[in-house]
Amino acid sequence: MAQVSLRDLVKVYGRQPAVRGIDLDIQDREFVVFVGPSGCGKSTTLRMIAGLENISHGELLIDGQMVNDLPSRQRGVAMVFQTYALYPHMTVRQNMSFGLRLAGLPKAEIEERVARAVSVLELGPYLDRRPSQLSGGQRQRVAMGRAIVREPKVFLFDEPLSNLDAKLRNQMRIEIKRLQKALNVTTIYVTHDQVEAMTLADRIVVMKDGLIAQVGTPIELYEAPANQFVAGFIGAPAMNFFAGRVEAGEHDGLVFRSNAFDAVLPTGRFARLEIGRPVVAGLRPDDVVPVGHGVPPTGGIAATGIVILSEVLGGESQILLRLGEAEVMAKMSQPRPVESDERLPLQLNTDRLHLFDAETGASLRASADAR
Amino acid sequence: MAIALDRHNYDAIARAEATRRKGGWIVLGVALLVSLVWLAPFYYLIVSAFKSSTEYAAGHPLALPQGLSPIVDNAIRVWTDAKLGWGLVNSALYGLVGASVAVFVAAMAAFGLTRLDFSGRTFWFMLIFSGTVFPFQMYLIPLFFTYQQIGLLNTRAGMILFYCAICVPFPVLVLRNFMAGLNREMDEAARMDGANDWRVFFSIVLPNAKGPMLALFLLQFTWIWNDLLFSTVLGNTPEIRSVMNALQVFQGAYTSAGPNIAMTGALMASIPTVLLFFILRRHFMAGLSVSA
Repeated sequence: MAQVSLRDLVKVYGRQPAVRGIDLDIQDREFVVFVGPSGCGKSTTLRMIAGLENISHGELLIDGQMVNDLPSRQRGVAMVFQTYALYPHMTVRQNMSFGLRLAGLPKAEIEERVARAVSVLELGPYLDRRPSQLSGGQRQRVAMGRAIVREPKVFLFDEPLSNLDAKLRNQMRIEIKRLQKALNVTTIYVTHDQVEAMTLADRIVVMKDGLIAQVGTPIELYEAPANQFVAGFIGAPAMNFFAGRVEAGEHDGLVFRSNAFDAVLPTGRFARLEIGRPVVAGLRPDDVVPVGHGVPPTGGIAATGIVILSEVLGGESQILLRLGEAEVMAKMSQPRPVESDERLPLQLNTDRLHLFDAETGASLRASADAR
Repeated sequence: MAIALDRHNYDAIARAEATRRKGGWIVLGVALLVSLVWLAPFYYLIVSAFKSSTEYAAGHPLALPQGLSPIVDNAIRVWTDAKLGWGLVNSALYGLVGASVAVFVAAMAAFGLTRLDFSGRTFWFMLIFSGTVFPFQMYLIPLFFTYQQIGLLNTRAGMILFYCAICVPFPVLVLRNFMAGLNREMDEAARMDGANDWRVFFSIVLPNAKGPMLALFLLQFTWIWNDLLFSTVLGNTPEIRSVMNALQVFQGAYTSAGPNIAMTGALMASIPTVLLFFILRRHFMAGLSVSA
């Protein structure tokens, strides 16, 4: 049970900064996911917390105690690696008890802890096997078992599912979530997969270029992205963006005008809008609704798109359309076959429009101001 | 609906596939010829060892022996004339100690070169690596004079020291490449489990490098066992000399022993390495495929 605090954490390799100063407070028992494109510094941050990388600048506190200079074994952290990193020459039992044996725990306690982890992870039949005799999912569970037996204050996961096939990944994702709920341990999880981040996290930390782009619950990030980067990163398929500008509309209202569509801007949703300002509008594929498919939005505007191509997923189709002079991705629920060049009537849910500053990419949402 | 698994006769297809891939008689013929050329000296060695001196002198060198018994007399002659007992003991000592120490030291060096962060890593590696670049013979004369001056000439300690040192560079080269390929996250996991550098080396890296280390041990042991040049120059008294050096009493103008005795000696001297290879062959093959 532990709180983890990162205070202006920096990592430089040579003269190359990998992490440029991160501040974050992770609550006791919280499940926090670091997500971002490769090279954004998420793994480096995790490795600094683990004690596998020196901290170049800043402070790392676990339960209020500064642990910058403590070796990993004294930090009370345990890690599950991307490649599982099991010891190939040891059996499952030896793999799990290695750390405890090094710590000089009494034999009875080692056995008891291993037995407990084994029953949680259902590894009983495999205790005397070597890692090479296990499947990918079983290896993953042994790696988790090795972390559990140490009864750490903080669990660290470094892209633990990326070596598994898609079906197993979904299964293990649920297992990790269930395990974290059962053990109730503060968990920090790194992934580049935003679906993993959304489904697992209590809070998501989106990183970009060594900095935090936004911290929030999955819904906050989805509904109120703080900037264009987060808006584009969270959600699949990605949000559609349209470059345009804010202009004066009827009755003192404001209008967004672009080469794709024009939309009256709902009052109160945005702040800092001025006429003539160049902005980027964002609209999620869920809010581009082909007429007759899915729930029609209450507000919004009608438009017609020309089908470029469609990706059939079964339960829904993702359709790439030409809308005005822009391309836009739409989600068609209860799909029907469409042909390319077909004219598809659409309902654009512009009540859920996002606006970003064209230069800085910062969100112009009124609620985002407080952040 | 059940899926039909036997739509074709897959055995017949496999047989046809195998026949298509088989090489012709020419390949087999060439292979036989090459093996024959390669086996001829062994044939000569074996038949000579079973001949008495008179029988050897009377018949054609490649003729089959008349009986098997002369080898016993030949062996006794070799054993006493060459003091082969000492030779075998010395060579075993040099080979076992020299090769084990060298491979172990090389493993530590390779661990340091791949896992520890210190400045000039590449320089140190190149320095060790240069040991495999120059011909060994280059060291002979300086070594002889140095050994003479510090009193290591004709001592077992001197021989062991030399073999330990000369056998380090090549294993470093192989083990460095092997260890660089070992999963780095494995040692990081061990570090998080509370292991220090020594523990990571002994408990994690070393057990996983067993295959290539055994193969290297065997290669270096054989090299030491077969070395004639350095053992002749650095250790030439009957109590110190290696088995290959001991066999030299059957060579040269003043020897009274015939080729049959020399061949018996050669046969006896090669038995230990062959035995060692058979004992360790499984690891040797596994290690070779790694180091290749």
